[in-house]
Amino acid sequence: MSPAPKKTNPSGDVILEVRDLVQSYNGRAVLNGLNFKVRKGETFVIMGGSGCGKTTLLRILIGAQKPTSGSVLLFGEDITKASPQELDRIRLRFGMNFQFGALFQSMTVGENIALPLQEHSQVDPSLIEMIVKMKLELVGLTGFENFKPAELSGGMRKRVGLARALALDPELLFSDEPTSGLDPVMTAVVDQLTLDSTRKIGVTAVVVSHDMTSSFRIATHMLMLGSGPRQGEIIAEGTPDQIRANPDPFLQQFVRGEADGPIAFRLSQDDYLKHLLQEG
Amino acid sequence: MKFSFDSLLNAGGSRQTYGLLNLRIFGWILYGFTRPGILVPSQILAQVIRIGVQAIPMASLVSLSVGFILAMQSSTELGKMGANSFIPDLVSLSLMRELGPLLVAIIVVGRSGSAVAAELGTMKVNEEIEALRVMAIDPIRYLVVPRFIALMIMLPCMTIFGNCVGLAGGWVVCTLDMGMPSSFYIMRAMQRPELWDLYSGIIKTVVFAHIIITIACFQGLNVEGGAEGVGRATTAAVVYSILWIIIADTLLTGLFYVVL
Amino acid sequence: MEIREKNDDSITILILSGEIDLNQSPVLRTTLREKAKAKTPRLILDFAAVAYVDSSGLATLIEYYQSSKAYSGKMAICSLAPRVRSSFDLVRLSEVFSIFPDQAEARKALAGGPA
Repeated sequence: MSPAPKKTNPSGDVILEVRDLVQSYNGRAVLNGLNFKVRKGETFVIMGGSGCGKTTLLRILIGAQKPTSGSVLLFGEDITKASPQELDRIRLRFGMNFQFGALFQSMTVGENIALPLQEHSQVDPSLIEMIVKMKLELVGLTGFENFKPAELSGGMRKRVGLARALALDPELLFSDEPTSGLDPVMTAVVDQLTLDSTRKIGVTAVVVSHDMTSSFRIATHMLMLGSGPRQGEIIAEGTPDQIRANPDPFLQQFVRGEADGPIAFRLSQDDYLKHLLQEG
Repeated sequence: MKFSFDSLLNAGGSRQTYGLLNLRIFGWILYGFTRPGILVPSQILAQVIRIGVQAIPMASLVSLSVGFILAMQSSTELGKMGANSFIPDLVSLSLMRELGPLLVAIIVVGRSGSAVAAELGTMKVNEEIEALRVMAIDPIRYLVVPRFIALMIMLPCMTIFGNCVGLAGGWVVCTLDMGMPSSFYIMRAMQRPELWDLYSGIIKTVVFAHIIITIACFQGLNVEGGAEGVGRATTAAVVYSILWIIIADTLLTGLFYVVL
Repeated sequence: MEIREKNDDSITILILSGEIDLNQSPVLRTTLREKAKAKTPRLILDFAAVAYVDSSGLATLIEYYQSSKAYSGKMAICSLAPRVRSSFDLVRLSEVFSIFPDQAEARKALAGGPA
């Protein structure tokens, strides 16, 4: 339908830049003044506990939600101020891999992957069929073209979602928890695909994850979002080595996956008692 | 954002108001006439079959029953006055002007309006609508417009078909029960109504089709809160459609009554 | 994208340059379909000046490979830049196509067999 966009990028090798990003719901800031940059070819992993605003952040980055304030520059263009047409033009340059695949249930796997090509390119249907086969091979699902999403397991659906996100060979790939719910082998396959795409083809990846093993395997840059008392702020940012060496107790508890630490999942004894007596 | 035709097509983001939904549907259809690839015949045909053709058996059955009922009920009263020869008139006029459009519309609400609301609602819950938007595919153009066009075409067709089936129902009663000659039934049923009687019914079906499909899509696209939300939206689509169909029917009948 | 054609010793060489993406692959497709129609017996695609190939470009190559097999035409690809080579490797096309490090080797390989 629309012509493929020109690959311009006025801001050099910075693919994505977030400036003073604030998102609040009913006066409570979920994201509070975030600033970071993602450079071309990086695998940028955003980590954080449940409820830290990872998904909200991702929705803002792909233009699905307008932030309360601040700006998001994708390929040098501010998507928070872009018109819907401009936003659509920018969207053709990135792919989004949804947490649960978000596959079109009424279509087969093949049709799901073919859709972006049919809608946004003049590529011949016979070639689209080949591209679909290549994308399925990429995610280890060769031969599954004619299955409906409902006939696949959750992990397979996720991988089809990834194949669909890669259908137009985007310069930038957003992934929401790409490996959660996958078995260890498939986790490694998806991680390897991310690695190959970024290191060898030059794709940039922004991955939201709380899978530490996988994150450290793929990341070139990591960012940790705070939750609880440190909701909405960036706790740490840096290369995987810097993150490992960072002494912040909040960060270390998360990286090591320990129950005891500053990330409280229980009320203190006093508070619990108060809560029980008041509510009961 | 300055106003332009393009911004109208893309306005609203994820939340839609009912008025905006209507504007955008018409915007995309007009735009579709100027550019290829927007109104895809195969997609429209698929919807014609799913929300139109597949509802025909049920609509026919209801129309047939109504034909029976009209003929039988009127024969008891009209028979007392020896006016049985007016039964064909009564059956064909009430079907064309009123009962045909109304009953077929209500069947389609239950059969297809609810299905569209549930389907779009499920897509919303599964993030499929979001995925379309992120792929720079407008959900209104891709999902709503084919359904809209399909029902706008199919509801009048189904109503005309339903009228024919209803007339056949009346014929069965008149010929078998009252011994009326077939030729007499057909002549009376065809002669009495004027072309305007048919047109007024068709005008109603077009309005009904618009009500059914826009309400179903509106409810579906605005689902929030998982499976429970889908259920609520489906119910709302059916209830509001029937409500508005009856209101519109009253207004239109009143209008035709006053004007003509 | 640009395509220059060179013929010698019954080998047709297409020297490609630029980026083969969604916009450009139809150009390559037109050329390759002509070659397939003419039943070009030996074809070398020189990728030395190609900076990027996307899936539609790769699919175009597969399409030619398929049609050339029908008349037992030979096809070789040479001088892939590392990044372009990775695009082939990632979808295992290096296992399908005959890929050579440079034009000379590709010629040697194609000249060997019967015409």
